[in-house]
Amino acid sequence: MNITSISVWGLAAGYGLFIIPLAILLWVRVPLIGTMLIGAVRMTVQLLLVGFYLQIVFTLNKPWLNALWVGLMILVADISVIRGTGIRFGRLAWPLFVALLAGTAVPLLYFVDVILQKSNLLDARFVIPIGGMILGNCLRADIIGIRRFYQSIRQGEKAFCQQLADGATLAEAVRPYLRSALHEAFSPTLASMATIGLVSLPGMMTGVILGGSEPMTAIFYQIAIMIAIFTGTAITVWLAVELSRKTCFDAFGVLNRHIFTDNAPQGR
Amino acid sequence: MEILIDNLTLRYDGHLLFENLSIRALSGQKLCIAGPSGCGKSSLFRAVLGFIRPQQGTISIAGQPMNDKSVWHLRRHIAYVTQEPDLGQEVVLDRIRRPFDYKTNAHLAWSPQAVKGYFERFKLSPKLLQKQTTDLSGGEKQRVAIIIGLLLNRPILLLDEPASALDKESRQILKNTLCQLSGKTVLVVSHDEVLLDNADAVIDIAVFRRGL
Repeated sequence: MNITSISVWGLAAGYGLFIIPLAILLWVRVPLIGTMLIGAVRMTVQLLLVGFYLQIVFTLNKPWLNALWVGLMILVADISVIRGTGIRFGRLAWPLFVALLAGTAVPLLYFVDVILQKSNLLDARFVIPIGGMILGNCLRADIIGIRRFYQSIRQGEKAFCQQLADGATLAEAVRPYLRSALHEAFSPTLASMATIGLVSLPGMMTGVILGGSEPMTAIFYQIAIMIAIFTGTAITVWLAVELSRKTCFDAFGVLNRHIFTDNAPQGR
Repeated sequence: MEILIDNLTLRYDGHLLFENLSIRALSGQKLCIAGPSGCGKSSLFRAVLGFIRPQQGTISIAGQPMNDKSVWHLRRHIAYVTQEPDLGQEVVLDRIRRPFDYKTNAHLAWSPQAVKGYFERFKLSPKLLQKQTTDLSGGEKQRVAIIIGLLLNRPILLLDEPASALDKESRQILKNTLCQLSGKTVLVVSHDEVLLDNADAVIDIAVFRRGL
């Protein structure tokens, strides 16, 4: 490995770049300077804390501690997705946690075991960064997919109820909405798969190259991670919708309007 | 098939629509539900289908009360046509055919001839079958929704303002069609005189509003 480290002074110089966006914001009088400064401070503090913690985790490299860290990341993702979907915590927390866990664990363990062929499936060097990349994409896809699924049923309640009246089971009635939710949730990942390398060099590939590896090694990693990400998003969105159906629809097959944090009626 | 609505109190969005409403529709009867706008006529139908839970009272179909276990089975007896139907966004023929793909309706045979017959009866061009549902006019949507309800051939028919977007000729066709439905229990919400005149009874549910 031949990696060029960034010194503390080098990083401090990096903050100098902030002068440019700051000048633009001041010049155009965009009221975002406070938000930008808070964002910069939070980013620095959060990442430094995570950095210190990860150094300890990487040094100890205990499988249970690594698994616990991934579990904690899933829990934070769970809360973030629920906030993003506008659905009450109690209705979605557990189904979504299971969906995120499955969506992260299945491609992650496959990646480490089958693709990288590591004997230690919970090695911190692989489990934490790769798990984080899969989970981050699952989180984004879940917010899009779940919000689309429940909001489209809420807004099209009349058409949904008509299907139930026509004889559809709940599974049959939700299928068009599930199809549309999956389509919308997968689209960003599929678009990024189709343009990767042409429009942007993705973070993982860049990281592997900066870490001193050959470009082809980085490309292989990137292809594998893209497949793992797509698999993870497919599992998590589909599972989240399927599992949350039990808590979000009543025994009559009607969407419970109290699941929404803003429970104003959307149709009649 | 008999519908028994017993001592029903219904609220929607926190507003009391009516209380202690009781209606008995005998098998083969054709009842017209009347009342001013907002008195709960459409909500009554939605309650009969289990889309709104009543605060009090029971709804029974063929002697079986509606509850968590029976609702899915009881819905199979009812064909429902909503006011201003939302047919979604698909090809008209696919929309008409969709209920025939449901497991519940597996016993129903899909008949293009029956569709053609109803299209002729309701003066709809067969070319409409290939159009998008979103391209239909209000009257065309309403007639397509009525045709879907008739094709399901269920013993109970709930029609919510089925003539609101129909011209005089189509209203007459609808009335004649309903008259020919022997043995079916039909509940119609309508202000249309042609349909009101041919009902076995007209029930004004406004009298069940609080304070009246």
